[in-house]
Amino acid sequence: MPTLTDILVRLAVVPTTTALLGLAFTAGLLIAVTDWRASVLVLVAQYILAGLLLTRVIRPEIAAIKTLTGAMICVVLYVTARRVGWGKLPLEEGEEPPSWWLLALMMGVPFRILAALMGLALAYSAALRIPLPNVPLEVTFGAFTLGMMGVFAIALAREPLKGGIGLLTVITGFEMFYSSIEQSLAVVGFLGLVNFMIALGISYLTTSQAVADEESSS
Amino acid sequence: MIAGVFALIVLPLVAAGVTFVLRRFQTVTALLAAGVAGALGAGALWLPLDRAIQLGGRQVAMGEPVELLGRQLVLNGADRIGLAFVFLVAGGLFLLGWRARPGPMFFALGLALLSLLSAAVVVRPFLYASLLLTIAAVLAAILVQGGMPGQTRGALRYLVMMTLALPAFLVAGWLVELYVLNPSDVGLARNIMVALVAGFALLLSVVPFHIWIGPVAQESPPVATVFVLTVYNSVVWFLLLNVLQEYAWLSARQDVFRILQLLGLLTAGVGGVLAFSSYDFAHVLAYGVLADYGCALVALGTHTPAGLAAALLATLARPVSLAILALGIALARERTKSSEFERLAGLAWSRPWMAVALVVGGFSLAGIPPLAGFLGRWAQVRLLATMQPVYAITVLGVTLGVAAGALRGTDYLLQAPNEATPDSLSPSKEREAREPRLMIALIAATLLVGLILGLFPGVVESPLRAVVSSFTFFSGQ
Amino acid sequence: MRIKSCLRPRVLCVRILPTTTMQISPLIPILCLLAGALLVELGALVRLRWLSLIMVIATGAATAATLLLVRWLPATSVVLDWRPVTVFGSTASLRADGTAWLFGLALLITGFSVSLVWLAAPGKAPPAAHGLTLAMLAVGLSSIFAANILTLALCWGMLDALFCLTLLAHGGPTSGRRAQLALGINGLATLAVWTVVVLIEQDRLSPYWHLLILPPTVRILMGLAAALRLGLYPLHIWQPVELVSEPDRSILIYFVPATAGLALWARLAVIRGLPDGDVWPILALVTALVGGVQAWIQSDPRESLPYLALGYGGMLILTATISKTPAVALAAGSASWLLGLTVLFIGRSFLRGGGGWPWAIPAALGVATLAGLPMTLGFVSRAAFYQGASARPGWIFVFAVIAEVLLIGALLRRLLTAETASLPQGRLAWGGYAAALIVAAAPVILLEVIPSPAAVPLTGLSAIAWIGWGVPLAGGAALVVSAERLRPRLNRWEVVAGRVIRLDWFYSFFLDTARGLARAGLWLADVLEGDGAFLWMFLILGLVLLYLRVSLGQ
Repeated sequence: MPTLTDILVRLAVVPTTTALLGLAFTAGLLIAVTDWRASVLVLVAQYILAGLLLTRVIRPEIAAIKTLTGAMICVVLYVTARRVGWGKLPLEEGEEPPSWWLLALMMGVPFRILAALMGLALAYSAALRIPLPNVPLEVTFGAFTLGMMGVFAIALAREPLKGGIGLLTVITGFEMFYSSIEQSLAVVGFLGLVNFMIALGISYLTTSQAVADEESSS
Repeated sequence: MIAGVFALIVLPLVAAGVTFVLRRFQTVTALLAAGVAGALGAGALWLPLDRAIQLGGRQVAMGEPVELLGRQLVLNGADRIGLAFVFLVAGGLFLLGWRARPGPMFFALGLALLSLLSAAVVVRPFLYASLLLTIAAVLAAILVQGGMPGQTRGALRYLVMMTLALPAFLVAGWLVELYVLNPSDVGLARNIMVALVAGFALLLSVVPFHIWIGPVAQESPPVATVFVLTVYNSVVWFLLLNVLQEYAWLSARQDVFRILQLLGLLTAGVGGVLAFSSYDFAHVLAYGVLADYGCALVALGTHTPAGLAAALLATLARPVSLAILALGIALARERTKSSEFERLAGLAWSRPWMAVALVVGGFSLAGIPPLAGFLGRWAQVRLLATMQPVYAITVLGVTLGVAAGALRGTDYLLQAPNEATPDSLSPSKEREAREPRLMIALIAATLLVGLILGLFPGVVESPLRAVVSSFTFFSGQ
Repeated sequence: MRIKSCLRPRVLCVRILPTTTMQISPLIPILCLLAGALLVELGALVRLRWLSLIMVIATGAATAATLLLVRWLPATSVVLDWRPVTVFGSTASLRADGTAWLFGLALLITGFSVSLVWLAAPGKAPPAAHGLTLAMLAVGLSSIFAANILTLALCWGMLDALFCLTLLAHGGPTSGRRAQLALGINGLATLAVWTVVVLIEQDRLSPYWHLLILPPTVRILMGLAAALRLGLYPLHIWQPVELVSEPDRSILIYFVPATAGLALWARLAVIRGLPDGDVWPILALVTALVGGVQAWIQSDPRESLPYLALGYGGMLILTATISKTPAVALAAGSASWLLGLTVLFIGRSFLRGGGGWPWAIPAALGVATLAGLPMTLGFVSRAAFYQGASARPGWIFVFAVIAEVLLIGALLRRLLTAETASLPQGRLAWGGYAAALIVAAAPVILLEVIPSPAAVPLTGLSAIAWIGWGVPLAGGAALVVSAERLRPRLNRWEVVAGRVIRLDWFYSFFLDTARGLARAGLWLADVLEGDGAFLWMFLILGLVLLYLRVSLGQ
């Protein structure tokens, strides 16, 4: 049975540009979309694409560890989100959900899409003006994209889960750069632990938030 | 033989496990946590670093370095006083938490935090300290959330701010390795400075990174808030001093201290203005401590031993002021579920100890004599008056701002009891719902500690001197 | 037993004990009071009956210790050894010289007398108030004996807290508001003193009183601090005028902070550090006038205590600022103010209900010393004032005379108002009450009769000075005689004029403005820390980075 490393090596044939565009798209989706299910799924895709991009600059085994850690984090978030019922819509008690486009307006989706596009533009220009040392241009793009979009996601978040996903995105973007320059296994392990702890913290906060929502609705 | 470093890291972790299992028994867990923290703090302070001694049938060597996974864990003179302070403060807070409802996992998480923070202080190189601090921040976020349903904004902001500091430190660590190979690279040195300043600015909650303090103070159990504001923050201060000491070329740059001073000034000013504008004692606590952080940074930025001593005095006195205020807020929330001024109108007459704790805590945090907070504030003002008079006036203004905030709260507390208030009980019910005696005893004891510290600062002269003398990064040295 | 008068210190120095090598520290009377306070509070916890007796013993012991202290003046004592000195500057220490000794003695005698009254007629004050009053007295005494400005700042900080607690312990519907105002205004006084210490340090001057040279800017701050503490008009709003219904209970509440303020003025006079300019004499004169008007228009003369204290306090400051009176004379005048008002308001009047004319003699002595009659303690400062005022612009002289007419009139009115309360019942109570009156009244004569270098010889006064000295006495007497015809009109004006003069409306406006500013700050905090906090954070971060780049780039 192929190992995760083998899978990643095979997936390395995916062109860099495609991976980069995919990262930008996932990061933008994380801002634009408020649905928790979609957010967790997008996060999974983001971790895989980030791992793919990292195989260009670090050993596939280490990229695999990072992708695996990301996958475990997504499992934690998925379980948490499922347990608390995927969050709730901004509707009054007993109110019928409106049409999808009205709901999108209520959730501020147009504004979020604009914010995502603005974030992407900022990341692009920052990557061109401030190239990161010792890393190829695509990693710079990836790092800035994830970093900027993660910050926007934190700023626009109303719940701990979305805020936490934004934070994890920022860390992922940073790790894209940092992994290229620091490849000590101890640091990799610690960073993985940090990411996991953050996910546990977010999970706890999300559960606490949901308990309050349940109490207020009951 | 047991290395002291090991004991400081492992014992709190073991105690955390025990307290987690026993978390339903509040008294047992509180006393166990306070006992463990107090004992470790006392041991860190008094056990000798240079030789092993016999303790309970085992040899304990405090200063014995330990190697773990290729990383060194070393306890030096200044670090051990810092850790002793952190453990003793934590022990005191655990004791207060016995009665102040700090949340279901306060003791377990607090002990685990102590373990991580100890490791962060003693580990070399600094890079790993930043990783440990981030892990500790996650636990601290859960601690400040305190099991309060729906109150997550403060905890989330805290987690985000502390985590965003990690990239800055990791980059700084990498740049330092490059700098060792290219010590003549001025641009590299500047980038290291920027990264470290950014990281510490985030951890020390300098404006504009302070946005978590207000929500945490408002939402979290007061003792848990104070734990994070004092224990965690104190460790960050000691790490800052360690970094300045370790990288002499960094501390030789005047612009580092100039930046620290300017950021401190901004933080103190914003804290003073917001404290004046407070309508909630939780905000007085939050912005008062923000102002205190800023004033301490301004003092440190003078780049003198007296400045360091002033900053350390403020760090020393802060837990006492905050603890008093926290007890008052805890009592206020017990009665009215809030610490807003309007909700506490007229309650000073039926709850005098609550009122005393709120008022004295607020004034102590402001730095009014002869309370504990006066020590650091007086040392700061005295120093700045001779070096930078405008900054001294700013610090005095900040003192006035925080005191004015507390005074406005006092106005509400002392309103005549017969005026109608939203939460007023009938006189007979008010008499029945008296302040718990143990809380009164804790408030009285904390007030006494504050007064003793304020009037007899000589009790801390020896450790203060030891810490100041162990740092040599001042200008002209 | 030997009696010997000393040239140093400048005040009376009589050795009435066998020679001894035991030196008394100025800390001892303070410790007596603090011990008494602690015992009283503990006694209140266990519901001990004889709390007033503990008060009497504590104040008596403190007074005795202070009397004995006169042999070793100037006496010093280090109270708090603040180290490291490089960080804290100076230690907290006490130093009792002649001026401070006189202030301290007068204050302690007042305290002793009030304690005796409380023993004789317990009253309704809660037990906690007794201990807090003793503690407040101790801290007030410490501020008088403070050896340096840092110690003064510390003592004033503690005095602020104890004053508020004592006020709250007495209770009443407005005690909360008064306590808060007192904390604010007196806190400003403490902060002003603290700022002075900072400025002194900046100029590398010594903070010790006997070594201090005050620069002109610093003198203004010191004057402001003393004015706030004393409650010079218009900074008087914190004084709790509501407590006048029981003046014998509230005397110390009025006098301890005010004495601390007066003592500071005396200190400034000693070191020739009084603030310059005309604003201080004007403020003092206005205070005297306002005090006089308020005292005179009170429908019940027994409620004129705080206004008499205010008015005569203003006269003392006027004496200090325009006459360049020697500090000892100012101290004597302050002692007269303190003891005279005490004995007047714990004493009895000459009219029915007073218990007979012997009981009115102490009150009469109080009036005599406040009116500055010869052979009383008050004659020294009053004569010195008119001697100095005769050389100043005429309007000061005239208005001072008017103020004194009103004040003396109010004094006489009090002395000639029938008592509503009867004498204490029982021999012991009688004895205690009599002792209280004698303790407060006797020094008024004794401290003046026994030769003292501070006495002003009668032949040295000019004719104008004699006129100034005498006209208020006559005017005050005439005012009392004509009072009955004017009283109905005055009663109509009492409430309106009282409110306007007291400036409650001004302070309400000021507090409302402060609340408005606070609301603006609160709005700003909500904006910056609300839902858009992170975006605001990045915006402010950008501005900060820009500023740092510009400022460090220079």
